Amino acid sequence: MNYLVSPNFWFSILASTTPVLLATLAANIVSKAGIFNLAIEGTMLICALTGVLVSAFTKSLVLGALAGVFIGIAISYILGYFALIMKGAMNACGVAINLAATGGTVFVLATVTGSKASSSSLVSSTFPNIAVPFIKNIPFAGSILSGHNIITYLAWFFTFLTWFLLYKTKLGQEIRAVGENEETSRSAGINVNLMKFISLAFCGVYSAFGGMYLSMGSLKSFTAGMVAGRGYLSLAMNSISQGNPILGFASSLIYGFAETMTVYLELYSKLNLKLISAFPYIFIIVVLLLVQTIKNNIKKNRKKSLQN
Amino acid sequence: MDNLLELKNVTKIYEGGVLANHNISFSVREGEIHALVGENGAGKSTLMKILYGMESITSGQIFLRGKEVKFSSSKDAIAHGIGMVHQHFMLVDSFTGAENLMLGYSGARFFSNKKADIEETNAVAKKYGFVIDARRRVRDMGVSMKQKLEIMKILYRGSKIIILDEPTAVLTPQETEELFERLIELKKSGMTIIFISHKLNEVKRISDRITVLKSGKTMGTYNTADISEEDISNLMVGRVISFEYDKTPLVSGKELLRTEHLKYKDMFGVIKLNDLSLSLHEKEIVGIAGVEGNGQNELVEIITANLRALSGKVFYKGEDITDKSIGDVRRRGIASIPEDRMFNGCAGNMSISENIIAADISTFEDKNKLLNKNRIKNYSKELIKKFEVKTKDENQMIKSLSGGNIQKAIVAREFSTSSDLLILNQPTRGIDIGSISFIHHKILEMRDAGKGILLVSSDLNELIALADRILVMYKGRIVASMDNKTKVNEQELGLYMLGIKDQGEAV
Ligand SMILES: Nc1ncnc2c1ncn2[C@@H]1O[C@H](COP(=O)(O)OP(=O)(O)OP(=O)(O)O)[C@@H](O)[C@H]1O
Ligand SMILES: [Mg+2]
Repeated sequence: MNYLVSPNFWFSILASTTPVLLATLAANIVSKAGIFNLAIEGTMLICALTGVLVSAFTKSLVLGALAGVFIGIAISYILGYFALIMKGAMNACGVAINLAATGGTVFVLATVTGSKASSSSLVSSTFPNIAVPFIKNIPFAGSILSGHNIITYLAWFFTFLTWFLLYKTKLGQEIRAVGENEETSRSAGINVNLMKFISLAFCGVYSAFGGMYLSMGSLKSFTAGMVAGRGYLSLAMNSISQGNPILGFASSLIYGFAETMTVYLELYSKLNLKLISAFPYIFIIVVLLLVQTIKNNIKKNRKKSLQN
Repeated sequence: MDNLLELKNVTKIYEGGVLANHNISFSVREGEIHALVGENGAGKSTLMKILYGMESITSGQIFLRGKEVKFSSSKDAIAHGIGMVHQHFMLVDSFTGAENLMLGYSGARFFSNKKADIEETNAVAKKYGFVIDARRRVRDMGVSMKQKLEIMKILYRGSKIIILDEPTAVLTPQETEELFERLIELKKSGMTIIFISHKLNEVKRISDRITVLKSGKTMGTYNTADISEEDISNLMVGRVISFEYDKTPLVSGKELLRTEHLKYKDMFGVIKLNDLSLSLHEKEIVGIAGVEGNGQNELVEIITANLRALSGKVFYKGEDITDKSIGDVRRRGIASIPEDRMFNGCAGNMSISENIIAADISTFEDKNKLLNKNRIKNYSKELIKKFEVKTKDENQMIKSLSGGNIQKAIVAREFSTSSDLLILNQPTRGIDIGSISFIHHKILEMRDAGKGILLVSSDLNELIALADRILVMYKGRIVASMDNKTKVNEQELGLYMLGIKDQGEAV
C-alpha cells in the first residue's frame, strides 16, 4: 500500500475528480434554481465530441472549445425551452436528450471518421497541462498540485465562482429564491424564467468543459459512451452537497479518491477484479453513512446544549 | 378627493374555467383605507392579485391616476408604487429577514453585503416602528414577525398603494391593534391602503369606505359611517349572522386527555411550556386562551406528536402516548387542525379529494389493497357538499381554492374521522362569518356526539361562545381556569392573558 504516499496517487485523484466536479457544479447551480437536469450526462457526451471534431477540422483548440461551450449552452436551453416555456415534463426531456446523445454521437462519429468506437483517426487538439510557477517547486505538494490539465484549474476556479455567485451576489440570491419558492419570487418582482435560464447557461458551460476534459484532456480522442455515468453521478453528488459547490467539490473528491483507488487496487492487489470495481460505490456509501452520523450527532448536541 | 385607482369591468376566468371575478368595477381614492369584504371564494384575493400583476386579467381595464395601466408581472406593479401583502406569506423560509427584505429589490447592490443589509433592515424597522430580528431565518419566525416583515418589504420599495390581504387573520387582538396604529400613521403620511378582512368590527373601525364582493360580483361601495355590521353581513351572505348559540348543557364523561408536567424550551432557549398539566373529558370543549407565543402551539404540537417534550407525559384514554409517532397518535383517535393550513394542514399540489382521504387512507382500500376510486369520489363529493367547500369539483388542486375554502376542506377531513378527540388550533382563521358560524355549529355537534375538543383560539369571542371551560396560558403556564357555563368576562380574560392576574397554584 505504499502507493498511498506517492504523489502520483494523489495527483491522479485530483485528475479523476475534475470531470465529476464539473458535472456536479452544473447540477448544483441548476438545482439551486429549482431545475432537475437529467441531461447533464448527454450534454457532456455531445460536447466531448463537438470539441474534438471542431478542433480537428479547424486545427484550433480555441475554436473547438468555443464550439463545445456553445453547444453545451444550446442543449441546456433546448431543455429549458421544452421544460420551462412549453411546460413539458422536465425529466422526460432530460432522458430524451440523453438517448439522443448516446445514439447521435455514435452516428456522427461513424459518419465523420468511419469508426463507431473512437475518433483516434482524427488529429484533434488537446488542452495543455500547466506547470504552476512557485507551487511546482514545493516538495511533495508541488508534484500533486502542479502539472494538471488547464481544465482542472478552471474547474477549481468555477467552484469558487459558483459559490461566490450563489452566496455573495444578488443574482445568486435571486436564483436561490426562485429554486426555493417560485411564487414568492414572482411576487417580489423577480423574472423566474430569466433566473432559470441564467443558471442553465452556467450548467451548459460546466457540462461542456466536463465533457471536453474527457476527450481533449485526460484522453486525446473521443470514444463512444466515454462519459460513463459521470453525469448521473453528479446528480447524486449534488444531493449530497445540497447544492453547495464547496461541498460539491468535497464529494467529488471522495469520488475521485474512490476511482483512483480502484485503478491502483487493480494494479497492485490480488483481490478479485469484480470486487474491486464495486469499490467506489461501496466506499461512497460508507463515507455517506459516516458523514450523516456525524451530522446527526452535531445536531443532537447543539439541541441539548440549547435546552439545558 | 380624486380617484387614484379605478377598476373597470374586471373579469377573471382561471385556466380551469373558474369565474372568479365578473365585471367588477370600483375605485379607490387617494389617502383612504378602503376595505374589501366578502365570503370565502368571493374573489377578493384574485382581484388584488390582478391589481398587483400576479394574475393576468381576462378582460377589463385598470386606471391609475386616470391613465390606463397594464401589468404583465409584479415588477410593473411595484414600479407603479403598488405593494401587496398576500393572504399566505410570500417569504423564502431559508433566508433571513434581511435577505427577504432585499429580495428582488432593484436598488440592491450586485454583491451582497450581509452586514449592510442587516443595518438597512434595522433602519427600515426603526423608521416605521416595527420590531423584527433581521438575522433570524424566516422559518424560525413567528407569524406576527413574518407579517411585519411583509409589510416592511412593501414600504421599503416605496409603495404608495398598499394592499393587505387578510393581514389580521393571523394576529392576536393586541397585535392587530398595533398594526392598526401603524396603518393609521401610514394613511396620515399619504398612503392609500386596501384592506381585506373577515372581521367586520375591524373593518368598521379602520376603513373609510367598504366594497362588498359576492360570488365574483360587486354589491357596491359604501361609506363606512353609513353602514352597520349587520348591513354588511346581509350584503355578503344574505342574512344576519349571530354568534350566540343554544348550547345544550352536558355532563362531561370519561377523561380522554391528560398532560402531566409538560416542559419545553424552543431552539432559542425560551421556555415555552413550564410544568403544564391539564385534563380533558368526553363531551367537553376546553378552550385555550392566551396571547400568541405563550406556548399554545407547543402544547398542541406535543399532544399531536409533532414535537417532543423535554419532560412530562401525555396520556390518551389512560395510555401513555408521550413517545408515540404522529401516525400512532392519529390512529388512536386524535384528529387535529394545525395552525398553518398551508404548512402542515394540506398538501398544496394535490387534489381536494386526495387531501380529504389522507386522514384515513386505509379505509378506501378494497380487498386487493388497491384504492377504490369510486368510494373516494363519493366520499369526497359528500364531504364537499356537507361542509360547503366552494370548488369546481373534487379534483381541483387544493392550493387553487380560496383560503377559507382550503380551511373548510381541512375541517371536513378532520371532523369526519372516527376520532374521539379533536385538537383545533385556530380552526376559523381567515374564514368568512357565514362559514365561521357553520364550523361553530359543527364543533358543537361533535361535542354533542360525545367527542372531546381542545380549542386553541386567538378569538376570544369564539372561545366564549363555544368552550365549557377556558384555560388561560401565560409564559407556558396555565394561569387561570375558568368555568364558562355562565359567560366569562372578556375583560377579566384579558387581565390573565397579559399576566396581570394569576390564580397561582389553584389551577
Ligand atoms: N389558481 C387558481 N386556479 C383556479 N381557481 C382559482 C385559483 N385561485 C383561486 N381560484 C378560485 O377563484 C375563486 C375566488 O378565489 P379567491 O381566492 O379570490 O377568493 P377570496 O375572496 O380571496 O376568498 P378567501 O376569503 O377565502 O380568501 C375561488 O372559487 C377559487 O377556488
Ligand atoms: Mg383570499
